[in-house]
Amino acid sequence: MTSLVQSVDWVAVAPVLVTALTGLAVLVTDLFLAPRHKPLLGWVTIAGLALAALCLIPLTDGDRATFCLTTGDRQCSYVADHFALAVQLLVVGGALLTALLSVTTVRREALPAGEYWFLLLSSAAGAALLPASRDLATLIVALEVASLPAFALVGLRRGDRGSAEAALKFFLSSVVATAVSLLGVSFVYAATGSLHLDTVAGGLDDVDPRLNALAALGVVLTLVGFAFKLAAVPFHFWVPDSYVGAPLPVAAYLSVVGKSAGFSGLALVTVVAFRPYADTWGPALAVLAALTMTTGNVAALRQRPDQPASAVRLLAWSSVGQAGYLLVPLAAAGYHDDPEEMVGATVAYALMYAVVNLGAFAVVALVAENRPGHRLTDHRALFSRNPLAALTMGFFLLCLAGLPPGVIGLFAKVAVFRTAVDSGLGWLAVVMAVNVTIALYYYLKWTALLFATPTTATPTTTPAARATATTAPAAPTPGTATPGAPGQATAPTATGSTVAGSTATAAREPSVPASVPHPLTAAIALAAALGVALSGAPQLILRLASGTLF
Amino acid sequence: MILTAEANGFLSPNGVEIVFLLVGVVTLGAAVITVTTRQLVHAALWLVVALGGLAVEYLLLTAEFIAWVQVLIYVGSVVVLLLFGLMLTRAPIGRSPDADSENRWVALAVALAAAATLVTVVADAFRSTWIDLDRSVQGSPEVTGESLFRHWVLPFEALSVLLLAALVGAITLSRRRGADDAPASPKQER
Amino acid sequence: MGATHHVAADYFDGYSVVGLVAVVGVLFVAVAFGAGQLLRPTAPTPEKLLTYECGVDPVGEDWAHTQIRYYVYAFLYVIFAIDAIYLFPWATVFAADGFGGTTLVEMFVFIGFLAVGLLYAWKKGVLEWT
Repeated sequence: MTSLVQSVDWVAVAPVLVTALTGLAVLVTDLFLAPRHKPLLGWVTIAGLALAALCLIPLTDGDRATFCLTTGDRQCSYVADHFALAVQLLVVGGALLTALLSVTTVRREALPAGEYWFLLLSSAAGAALLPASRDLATLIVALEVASLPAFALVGLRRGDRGSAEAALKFFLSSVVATAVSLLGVSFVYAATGSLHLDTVAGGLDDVDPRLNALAALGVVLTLVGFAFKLAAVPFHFWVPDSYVGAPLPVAAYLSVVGKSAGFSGLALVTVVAFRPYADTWGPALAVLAALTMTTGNVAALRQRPDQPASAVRLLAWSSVGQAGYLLVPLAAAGYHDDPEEMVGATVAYALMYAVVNLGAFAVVALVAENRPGHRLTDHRALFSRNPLAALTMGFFLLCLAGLPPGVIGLFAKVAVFRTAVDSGLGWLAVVMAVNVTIALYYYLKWTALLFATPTTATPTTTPAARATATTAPAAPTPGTATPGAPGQATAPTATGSTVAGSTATAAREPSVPASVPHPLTAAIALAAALGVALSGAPQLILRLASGTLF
Repeated sequence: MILTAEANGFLSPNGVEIVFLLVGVVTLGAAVITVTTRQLVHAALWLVVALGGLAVEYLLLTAEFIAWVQVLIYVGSVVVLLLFGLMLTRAPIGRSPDADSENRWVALAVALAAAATLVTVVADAFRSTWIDLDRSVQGSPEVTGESLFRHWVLPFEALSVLLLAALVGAITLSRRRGADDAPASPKQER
Repeated sequence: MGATHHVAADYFDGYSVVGLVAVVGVLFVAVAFGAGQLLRPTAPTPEKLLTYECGVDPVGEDWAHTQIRYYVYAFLYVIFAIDAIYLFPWATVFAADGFGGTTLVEMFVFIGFLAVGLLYAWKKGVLEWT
């Protein structure tokens, strides 16, 4: 009797499996845990994600595959090649930073702990499965595993109407996008008779002429679901409201891990499966990229700094703009003779973006410890209150803008730019250059705000910002308020004087917490360390941009 | 599975094809009534007819397993979920004068355009292909099970995570809403 | 496995009986109601059109606003219906040659995940009726 079932390479699937099982363990533990022990769950989550990241180490050869067909040509459903590993590193690392950010949020906003950590972990497991899956069924299921828990996470904030509305909007539009994607997959299956990406590519190569229109329509519709996750432009309208309505760490998670699910799915589907239809999806992705970056950057430019949650809104729109840059190499792949070489630039850019964007969100969370409005004006004169936080934030913003000393941001942008030029997409390169310039304006304005002098209004702020700056109580003077400096935050004498000083000077501000939470400090420190390390040795991720990952 | 037309033609339909067409007409009619009726509960019940008609179509195509999935999941539980969802709202039994939104002409245009595109493309692609129904049954639970547990174990197990996350997410959100809404006095909307 | 696949002719024969029963059922109801419609006298009065409530005049509106609890029950039902659906193809193959223990374990992993969901619902008091 020969066995008909698939054999499983447990080492290859370990990163996904560890994440999912940790989620299950957290959910079950939560049921039997006394409320005072609930904070432990956060640390279990962080440990699980760290373990999942360690599980990537034995796989670095990138030659493992499992869940293969037992008949015919050995097509595998799960492949741990370098593309999968790089994206899994991004997902697991991003989730880890998010978890560090969340520890404080879960406690302070009294979110249900077990559910929060379970949903975060299961979403991360889906996002980690996605880049390794090599058939359309697993891809779609993984996409849904990554996004369905995110809907609940967005709506988790207690008694918040905006949160519920954001979750509903996100849910309905995402489900429609997935349904359209499924229709596309069914057309592709009808045209090629297979769901495995390589076989689909072979099938599309010599598709029956009568099925040509069907296959092309299937290809385009399949892209919709992934473009939605990436928040490419016609599918971006859920982003600002969802980010503002969600707890801040969830917004950070969506902007990084949610996007990684989108671009890795797009990369797999276009470059691997639909390669023969490059002349269909190439122009489509190029137009999407141009629209996405322009819309995102122009909208980010129009954010008014004194509006509530303007910092989160700006990051939301800038993440739409950044999604446009992520799309450029994928569009270039449609025009290039060797499309697989292009994808690396997207992965490298995404890794850079994940580190600095999570760092930026972490600093926003840090500022919100004192001033919970998430306003851009709350960041005014951060340098005088908390020099280290201001410096790291300035570094993150410069990385996002692509200016030195954010060297890694610059190099990643150059790598993306080069793919467009190499494959003859001159117009897209021009659009991208214009957009990078637009983005410089608002990133630099924010950076300048950080270093503005506390009392007098500087020319970099808008009249509206100046108005609030004068009507609001003056910001704490430099001597009294330096609570958030990472590392020295817990010094008892410093915090004592801070509380006294700030309650005296600014009655409108809630009292400054006795100490900035350690997990938050750790998250900022980790992101900053990674950002600096990458700026020192950009070849760590730029290596991905040269050569093929598959 | 797909054969080109040789012995088949539009002029000599067999019994299965005639039943297929009749059930298709009934399903289409029920679907149209579902979206046009002004009585919400009736709309849900017409949806049962449409989904049931679709199940019969699956059966006629020998997709036996999918047909019963359609009956158990869609007719059996999704419609129940839909009805409970309707009963959570303050929608009245009987005619709802406000059931039509201002956007209905846009919706109609979008629906017609989408349907026209899909029908054209699909009909054009499969105009001259026929499913041979006389061979062994293609969509029986045995065939599905064999394929599922030989080749599709990974998405199958991933699905269990998806279902668990859906369950936990729905319970979390509904518990919160339940706790918040219970003390509040119901708003007067009519 | 080939021997267990039924042949299409048997398949359609089997389901034509099912279809016949369905048609007879629909006809039975239609004929009964149609005959009643034709035979009965029609003389409506406002009292006859009232909702019948054990002989008492009906109070309040006809539309009851249900609790969210019903919805959660219905949702649990959907989830476990999907779970149950997968048991059918599994039951047809797990005893077959070449599948054996692995398939059994795979199914129990699947059910195990959902059992955790049931445990969760139970511990959170969703299943209690207060």
